[in-house]
Formats: sequence, structure tokens, C-alpha cells
Amino acid sequence: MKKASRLIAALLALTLVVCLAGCGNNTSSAGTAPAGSVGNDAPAGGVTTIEWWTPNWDEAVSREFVTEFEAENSDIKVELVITDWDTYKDKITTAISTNGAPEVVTILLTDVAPFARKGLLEPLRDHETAAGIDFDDFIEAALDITSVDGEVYGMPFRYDGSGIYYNVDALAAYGYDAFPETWDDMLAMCEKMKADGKYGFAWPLGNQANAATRLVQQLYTFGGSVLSEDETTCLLDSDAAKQALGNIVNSIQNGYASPSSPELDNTTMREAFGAGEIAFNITGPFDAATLDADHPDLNYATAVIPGIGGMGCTTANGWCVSMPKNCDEANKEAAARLLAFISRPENQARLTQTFPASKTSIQNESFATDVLKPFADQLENSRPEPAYTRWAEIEPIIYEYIQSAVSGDRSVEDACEGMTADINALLAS
Amino acid sequence: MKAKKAKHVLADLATYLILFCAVLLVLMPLLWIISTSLKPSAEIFAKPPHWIPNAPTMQNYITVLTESAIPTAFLNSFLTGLMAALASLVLGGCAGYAFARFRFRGNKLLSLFMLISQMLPLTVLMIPMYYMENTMGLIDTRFGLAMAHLIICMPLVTWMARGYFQGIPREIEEAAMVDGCNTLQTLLRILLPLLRPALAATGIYAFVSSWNEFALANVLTRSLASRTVPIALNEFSSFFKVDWGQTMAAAAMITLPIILVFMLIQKQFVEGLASGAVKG
Repeated sequence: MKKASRLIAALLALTLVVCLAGCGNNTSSAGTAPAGSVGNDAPAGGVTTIEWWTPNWDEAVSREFVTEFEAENSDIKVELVITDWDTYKDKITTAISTNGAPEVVTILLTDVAPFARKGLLEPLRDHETAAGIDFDDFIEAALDITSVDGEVYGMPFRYDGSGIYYNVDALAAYGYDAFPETWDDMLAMCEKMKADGKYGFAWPLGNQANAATRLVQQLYTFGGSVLSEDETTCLLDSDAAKQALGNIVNSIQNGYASPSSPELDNTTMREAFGAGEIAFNITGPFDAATLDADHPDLNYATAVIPGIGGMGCTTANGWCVSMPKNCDEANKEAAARLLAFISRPENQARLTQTFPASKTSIQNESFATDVLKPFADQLENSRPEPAYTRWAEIEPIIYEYIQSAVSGDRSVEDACEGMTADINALLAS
Repeated sequence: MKAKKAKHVLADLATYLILFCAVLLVLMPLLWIISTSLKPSAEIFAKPPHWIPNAPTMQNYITVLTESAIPTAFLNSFLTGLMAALASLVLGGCAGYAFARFRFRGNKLLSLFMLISQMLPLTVLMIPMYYMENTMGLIDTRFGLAMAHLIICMPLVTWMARGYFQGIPREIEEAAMVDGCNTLQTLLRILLPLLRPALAATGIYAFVSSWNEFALANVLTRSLASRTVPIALNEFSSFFKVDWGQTMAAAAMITLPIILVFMLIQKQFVEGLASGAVKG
């Protein structure tokens, strides 16, 4: 007993040491903001202070931007607040719904429309035209996602969609020197792999957002849509939706895709691909850097997603900077200048790990690599990820029915009919 | 007689077996956290998964301690929890005493209402709380977060304190009064020394509630000036990648002190809860 007490005391002392380490730890590592409170008050000397909420994966470049922007605009001081993927939406929703909104926020392209429809974002076309922005230089599809009723509410700087990563050696072992161009040819290849007890690929069905995105990609390939244009009717009982869900369910039940799919997400699929457990993986261009770092010996190449008789359709999404409507009115001009600075083609190229949303910027040679080219080609057959007003409520319904169809609790037909009925009930409420 | 003894042994064995399974079930995630935190990244997704790392490493812990915001967040959590615990003990303790000793209209209803407030989902309170704290300039401060955490700590602290005070015979207070103590002196000199262990356990409950709180801390903190450990844990994940080794190392460092504290106070804590529960 005495020994146990001593051990506990020693461990608690260790805890105290960690706390004390915190007293002297002013390190500004990835994902952290510098200590010190932040506020919107303009300091003396006519300097306007604005806040930019930027995600942790953009922190290093964002800090460079702030230094350069402040050097160019001596009358503006920018304070960074670092957000992260898991919590950024709650944080931003709360802040822009009250009177504590920052001047500039980095948000997902598909989050712009729901916020804008609620009147929470500032229309940007006039602000940014005055700040010298050429809207014609943006990729139209990216700008479309951040536009509502013809008005722009977000300045896109990153835009990308999924493609295929394949293990060159694994495919070569079955006589393929390039990735099959159609879905049927791809399944034929998987059939050969199955004979050796191997899985061609997997689906990330262990994660709600990942799973819904995959279904929507398949749905778009078959020409379907989730909702009608006026967002009042669910269209997931269409033949396109049944074929889309059927593709997912059948590939698992036929042994082409890993039976572990219901437990996987995009991260674990990347690891499975890197470890050689699956021959190919459907994911975004951003995974190339991680694969290169974590699996330097992996011999991989990229391709477009196979579809019916040719290239399939991918969903596309990205990131943009927006201005909350209820930020300090006096700071909006300064915020517009920062948005314009971030939107410059050369800065978009620096801020993206995939593709920029600027036509000029995408010509940069860093985006013309063999690995990235198929992803650029794939964007020609892409549609934006759903940005419906009630998507956050629709997604869990879709996820539940995907899981029940994959587990065999429901047939594909019943799952599609069921999710349609539930979503229609939701939309009617 | 022998048969009876054998029956007892069997019953004990069955009890211990069930308890062992329950403990294993509860400890499994914690053990997996520790196991993953000691693995190099190549081993984390190894198939089949294994419990004992082939090449155990402390690198994840070293990185978390030296290159991440966790130590600072640890300090923030500690100070925020301390303020929340002290404030809830003072305010909740006084309220509990009033509920236990003073007769006034609505006493029972009000004390029950304290508990009902505990049932409100935090998401409902987020926007008003953010609005109030922003107006008072308390956003991104440890003090502001500690005050927000009173929403979570206060109701149960009040309820438990009420139970403790009710457990003390009135005669002790009356004897003190006869000896010349007024109400405050009775409370400070007689009741509080008697309840010290129980109130300490309650304070630690408040501290732990604040330590683990995520939803409010997520919206009320913006920088390392106030960011607490549950929020700082997200530092290791981005849109593109999650560093599971460092996440697990940080999670282990955050969890272990709380488990140790609970091991130390579990007896008083359970007693306190029970006395509050039966004397409603």
C-alpha cells in the first residue's frame, strides 16, 4: 500500500513537471498559435488589427503571408488564430453567429453556401473588385461552389478531386502496365487478384463523410443527383443511385474490395495501400506527399477514376477565404485587402498542397508532375461535393443506409428507397 | 459444510471472473493508447495488429513534450480546473449549506432545478455563453473558461454538498451555537473541518470535469493563452493526416493523472455521491 502511494505520488510529481514545462514552453509548433490574447481592437497609431482564422495544416505558409502582407500594408496588423479540421466548423459557426466574428476565415468550399444562405457571410464581389481581383482568373467550377444567387461569398485558393493511386508492381504481376480505363475492366483485374486471395481496393465506409463522398462520386458517374435543384425532393431512389450503391456493395460482397471496408477511413486506406495490402486506392492528390514520406520504396503511379466506358466522375472540393458578415464594419476594407493578397495566383500556389483555384496559378510547373496530371485531367469530369443547406442532416441518413446495405441487412433497392423516404421526411419537416 | 464452502469459493471465483472481464473491458482502450504511443509509425497500422511494440520508442512522448503545445495546454488545464474547482466549492458549498439547513419556500424545487440544469446539452449554451464572454472580454482567457466550466461543475457540487451537510446531525451545530458561535463561525469552525475530506473529493470532481471538458473550451479558446489539453490534442490531426503515435502519447499523458487522482479519492467520492443520493 505504501509502495502504491509512493508510485502515485511519483507519477503526480511527474504531472507537475509537465505543467512546469508548460510554464516555460513558448514554442510555436505546427498547429499552435502564439500565446497572448487576440482581439479586434485597433491599436494606437492608425493601425487596423484584423483576425484570420486559418487551419493548422496551412499555419506555416499563413505566417509567411502575414509577414509579407504587413510589410506591404503598414496600416494593417493581422493576428492568426489556428483552427483544426475536427473543430473548425463549430468554432466558426459560433463566432459568426454572435458578435465575435473574425474578419477572415479559411473554410471548406462546400461550407460557404450554407453559411451564405443564412446571411452569415459578406458578399465579396464589390469588395474584391475594388481590391483589384480578377474574377475571370478563378476556375469557374470552384467559384460556382462559393457563389449563391450570382454573388461570391468565398475566394477559392485550393480545388481538387479524387483520382486513383495504383501499385505499379502489383498491377504488373497481373499483366497490367496501366490502370484499366473502365469500371468493368477494373473489376476484371480485381477478379484475377481475388483468385490469389488479394483485394484490389477498399472503401472508406468507417467514416461518415468519407463513405457519403464515395457514394456521391459513384452517383455522379451514373449521372444522378442527391436532391432536386430546389432541394425539396430526394433523388436517391433513382436507377443511378441504385447502380451507385450496388457498385459499392457488390464489390465488397464479390471479394474485389476489402471486407474490412466498413471499418476503414481515408487515412487507414492510405496506410493499407502504402503497406501493399490493396493494389489501388481512390483518394485525393494530397496523399502523394504522405505516401512519399511514409513509404519511400512504394512504386506507385496515378490515374483517373474508371467509369462507364471511360473516365468516371469525381466530386471536387477545396478551400477558400471568406469574410463573416458581422465582423467589425470598420475592418472590412482591411480584410478585403488580405483576401485579395491570399487570392493572388502566386500565393494560391504556395498555399495549396494540391491544386490552386487560379487558372494562371495552375500553369505553375509544380502542378505539372506525372503524379498530379491525372488529377488535373480528372477535374474535367468533376462535380462539386454536395453543398445543400441540410447536408449535415442528410449525410448521417445516407451513411446509415450504406452500412446496412453493405452488412446485408437491407438490399441495395431497399436501402435506396429507405434513405430517400427518410431524407424526404427530413426535408418536409 | 465442505459443499457449502466449495459453493462459496465457486461464487467468489465467478464474481472475480466477471469483475476481471469488466476491468479488462474498461482498461482495453487505455492499454491500446499506451501500446500505440510506444510504437514507431510503421508499426501502428501493422496487420495483424499487435499489443507489444516490436521496436518500442519514446520518440512520440519526446516530440509531444518538446515540440508540441501540450505542456502549455497542460498548464492551462491545470489552472482552469483549479479556478473552476475553487469557485464551484465556494459557491456550490454555500448553496448546498443553504439548501440543507435553511427552510424557505421552494427549497426542494430549487435544489432539484440545479440538477435539471445539468441535463441541458452544452451545445444549447454555447452561443449565449460565447456572446456573454465576448461582451465581457473573457474570450480566450483561462478565467473566462473556468467561469464557463461552472455550468458543468456547480450543479453536482451543490447537490453533493447539500447531502454532506444533511449528513451532519443538527445537534452539533446547536451545541456550537450554545457555546456562542454564530452561523458563519459554526460553518467555518465546526462543519467545514468535519467535511474536509468529502469537500476535497467534490473539488476534485469539479477539477476533473473541467479538465475533460471539450465543447465549451473549443469555442471559448483561440490560442495557447487559454487552450486546454482536450483541444490541444487536435494539433496532431489535420485535414490530410493524423499522427496517431503522437496523438496517443498525448492522450496517455492527459489521461493518466486523472486516473491517479480518482484512485486516490474514489472512496470519498463514492461516499459523497451516495450521501447526496439518499438524503434528497
